[in-house]
Amino acid sequence: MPAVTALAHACEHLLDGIRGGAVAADAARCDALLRAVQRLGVLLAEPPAPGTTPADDALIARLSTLADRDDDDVADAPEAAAAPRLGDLLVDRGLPRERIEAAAAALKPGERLGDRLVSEGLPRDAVEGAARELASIKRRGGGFARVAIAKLDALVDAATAAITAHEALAHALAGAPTELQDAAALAARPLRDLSQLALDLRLVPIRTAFAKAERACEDAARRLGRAVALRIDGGDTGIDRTIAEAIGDPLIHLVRNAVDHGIEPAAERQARSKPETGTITLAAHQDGDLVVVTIADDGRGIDPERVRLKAVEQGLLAPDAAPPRAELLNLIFAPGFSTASAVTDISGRGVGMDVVRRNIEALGGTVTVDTEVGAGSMLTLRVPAATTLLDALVVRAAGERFLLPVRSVLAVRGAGIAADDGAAVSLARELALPLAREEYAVVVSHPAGRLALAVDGIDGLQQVVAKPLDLGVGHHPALAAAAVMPDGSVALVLETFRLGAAAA
Amino acid sequence: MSESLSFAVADRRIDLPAESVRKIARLPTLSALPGAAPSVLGVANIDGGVVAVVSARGLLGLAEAENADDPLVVVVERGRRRIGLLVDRPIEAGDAGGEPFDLERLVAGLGGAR
Repeated sequence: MPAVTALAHACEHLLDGIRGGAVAADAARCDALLRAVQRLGVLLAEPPAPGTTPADDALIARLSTLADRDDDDVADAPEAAAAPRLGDLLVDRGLPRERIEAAAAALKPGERLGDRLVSEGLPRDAVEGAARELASIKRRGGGFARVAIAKLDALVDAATAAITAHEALAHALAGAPTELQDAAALAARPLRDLSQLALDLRLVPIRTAFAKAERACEDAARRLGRAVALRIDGGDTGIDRTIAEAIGDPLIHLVRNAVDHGIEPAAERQARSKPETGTITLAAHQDGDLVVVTIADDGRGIDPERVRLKAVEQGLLAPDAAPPRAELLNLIFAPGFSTASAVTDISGRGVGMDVVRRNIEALGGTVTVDTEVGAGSMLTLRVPAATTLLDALVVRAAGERFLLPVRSVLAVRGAGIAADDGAAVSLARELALPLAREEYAVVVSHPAGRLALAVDGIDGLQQVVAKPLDLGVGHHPALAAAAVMPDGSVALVLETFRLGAAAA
Repeated sequence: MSESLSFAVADRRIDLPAESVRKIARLPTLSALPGAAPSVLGVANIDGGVVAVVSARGLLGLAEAENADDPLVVVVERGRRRIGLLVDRPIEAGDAGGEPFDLERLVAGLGGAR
């Protein structure tokens, strides 16, 4: 299969260049890679006579040109967007926009904005950090290409289809001569890389989701007459565009809540010897395949005792119940719960914390709260960062296939579980599906230790493109993502830490 | 007035705004969606995207068909999401008598976060 080998090598060479940062993953390179993948599919399906065709030679030449140079027809990438300015990066870091703009306007010829800001008393750390970030953006090539979002989505779908087709091809070649199988296997890595690059292109900086919350914060502060400064940290954290859109409303709600119920009026803050201006910090960072977003305020905090009284009053809690503190605080997410005695115009529109939680859980995320009376509160959202390539164990329960992320699987048992395998839980029962013959158990990691999930069967390992589940029709909270299988049907990915609530 | 497409659901007719209909497809392989509302029949892969397929009969509170021959999935755009609506068959529009079908309200009632 020299034709396949030569083409696959050319793809690999280009992908190495992109991965190493030597060349950019621009439209021209994605296009060439997609054409190569298409061509590989054809070559593998209908092996040609020995030797390469002129068309393939041209494609291989194109791939190696693109792998070696980063200056030529990259210009055919659409209009380059401007790199961010130092001021923008500083605003992202929570410094006041007015002061930066004033300083920029008053800049003398030859004077650097950063120096001026430091001399005007802005924190040196923040200014130097922003300057370093800007330098690194410029060093990375600086060029940005504007690409229509629909094209990005089409690229991801095409890359997903290519991976699915390749998996199907590998299955079909199971009994074929080894050299055919080897040739097909050669395409696996470039395809995986292509797919990952396509998925990464969907990431946007989370500051796009923070921007709306920032405006909502200013509005709420103005209307309530509170002095509030909003700080933003980690605005560059990459997050899937769909998720960034979906967390926009919950963030707005949480920030309004913080202004309304968290930050005290200036007089009250003074009386408590707190700075007159309250601070709300919106921060994000990546944690594995999750993005953790925190909304912290230095306001009055939430009094667990008030939460308890309110919960009893609402019939959410028995009068004599004394749940642990974390569980008690979690009641603020119960439907209909509200500690504010007066319904305010800002955050009391009948939208409660329960809706925030429902929205976040629908994305496969979680929301938790921590607080200290008099010092402030912090809400923590954990949401999937992105559509990801996932190595999964395919299991069957009640005639359906489900995917368990390999990272959560500790062991697979044929008959009977070991003493230290943790609580035994039926997957079908957990998901309220009809029970069938459960002949296997998959031991998975769980906050409560381990969990032995009883399943009907195990179909082996599969690499899939997992997309966060965001269907808008409700589903079991353990269903975090969906993937298209080689046969074209959909299998759902289970987040094991949301299973076995009863056992935990 | 905007154009609409009409479909038969049991002995009723529903009209959907033509501009929101993305595709009309045969029922693909469905996978169960545990924990969803009863009208949700499952999830399916439609053109590489994962779509919830919902029974129009269920939304209207009608009994499910015993063995409907060749039901169709109408893929409808709802904001940034798509949803598949299982109907019996397309019917000629034109004459009056279509049922006002408030998909938005009916689907919002399924309990999914918006």
